[in-house]
Amino acid sequence: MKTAFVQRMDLWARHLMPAALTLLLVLLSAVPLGIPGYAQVAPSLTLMSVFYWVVYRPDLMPAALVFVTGLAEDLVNGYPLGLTAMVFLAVYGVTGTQRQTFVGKPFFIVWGGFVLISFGAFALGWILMSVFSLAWIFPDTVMFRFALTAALFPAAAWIFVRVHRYLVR
Amino acid sequence: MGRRPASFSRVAQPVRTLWQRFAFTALVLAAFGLMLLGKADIVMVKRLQVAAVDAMAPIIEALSHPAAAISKGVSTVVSLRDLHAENERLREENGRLKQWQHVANLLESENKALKRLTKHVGPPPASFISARVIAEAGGAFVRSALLNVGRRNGVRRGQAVISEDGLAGTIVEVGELHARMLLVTDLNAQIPVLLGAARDPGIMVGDNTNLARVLYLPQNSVVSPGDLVITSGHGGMMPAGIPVGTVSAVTESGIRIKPVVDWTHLEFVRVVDYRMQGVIPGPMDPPPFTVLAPDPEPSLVERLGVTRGKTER
Repeated sequence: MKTAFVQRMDLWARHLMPAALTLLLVLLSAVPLGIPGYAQVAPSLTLMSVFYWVVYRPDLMPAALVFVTGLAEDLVNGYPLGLTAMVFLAVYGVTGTQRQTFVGKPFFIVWGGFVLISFGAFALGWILMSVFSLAWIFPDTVMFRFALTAALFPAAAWIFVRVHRYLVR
Repeated sequence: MGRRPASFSRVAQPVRTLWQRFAFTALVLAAFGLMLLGKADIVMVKRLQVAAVDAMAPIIEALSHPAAAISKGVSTVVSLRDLHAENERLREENGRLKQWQHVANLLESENKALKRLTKHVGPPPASFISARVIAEAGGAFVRSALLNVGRRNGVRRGQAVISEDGLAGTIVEVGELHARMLLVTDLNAQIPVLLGAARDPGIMVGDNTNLARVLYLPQNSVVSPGDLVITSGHGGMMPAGIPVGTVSAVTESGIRIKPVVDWTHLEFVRVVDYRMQGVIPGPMDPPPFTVLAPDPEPSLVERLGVTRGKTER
């Protein structure tokens, strides 16, 4: 009986890991690193995390968690509240419908999908922010950010795969 | 979920699917609603937002310490490499600065004498609150940073934040434990400045790039690259004379200003607690004075009168 309880707790803790990891990434990506210009073009680690888990474990990355992640990102960065939440929900919706294209396919197909979807995500964020602040925001930094996020996805995915394997074990 | 009895799941499944579909739509609507509410500057939303960041501030601060240590370690190693060249450069610069110091001392004493002669009234005294930068906003949309000081340290909305180089930003949001500063390069940053030796007044406006622009300059003002830009103190938000940047380019399309602050090494900053109340009202601040304040309220002149008495003493 006791072991069953411990096992259940263990499973619980493992199932909470994607959520905990994603929320930790929100905080981690705000930490000042002292690299020139890094804060402006910092890759969106949370976007990678949301995409990965929606593709491979959508049961552990429900819409509510995606929403909360986006909200936390808005709060930490001082964006208009709901902006990133909206973008992440869009990513959740699109990725959710295209899941079957990615699952069980070679990694470069998943990567290609991420490049397309993250491009849409950054474009949506840029449009929303431009409309919200009623000003032309220079898209070059947004594009840099997208490029860096797309380029670093394999590295982040490597870590997510490790966590994922630990979940399954 | 597969462990549950089949009969239960048969009933629950449609409800669950419906909920999932409904949840997604509801959450999208919620996000949209939040953006609208945020645009409308609802006090309640603002208050919740500040409270939430307050709750996260200690965690972010704890995380920022090791990151700062690592980045400091890296820069130490880098500086060790070119220690000799750096030493030579500093020696040369020191010699030049000594001459400048001499000039500055002369000018200061002369300035003091002239001020005494003309019974010049100085600005109200300012005190400083030292703070650590615990988070930088990522992304291209905003240029802001979180500080580890808040209302309990005496930080108020509108106060200036300076680094060792000059003006870094202004406080736009104050929680109990944290404050958010808007960097001078942010889209929404607007700083009243004086340009060059002629001290032409203008407003420095950021646009989320590394350079800022100047608007509302007098028509006949002559500005050339290299001119110093300092705060004018207009609006009473911040002391006058804080260096802000230098003019980097003067083109047809406008004047670009390079901020003096070294954004890479923005680790510790000082919040200027200026004794004059600013004119930017926050949604949660007590109503500030205005030029058109009704009579029972202390007027601008009376407030200045009080501080004038203080400075003369």
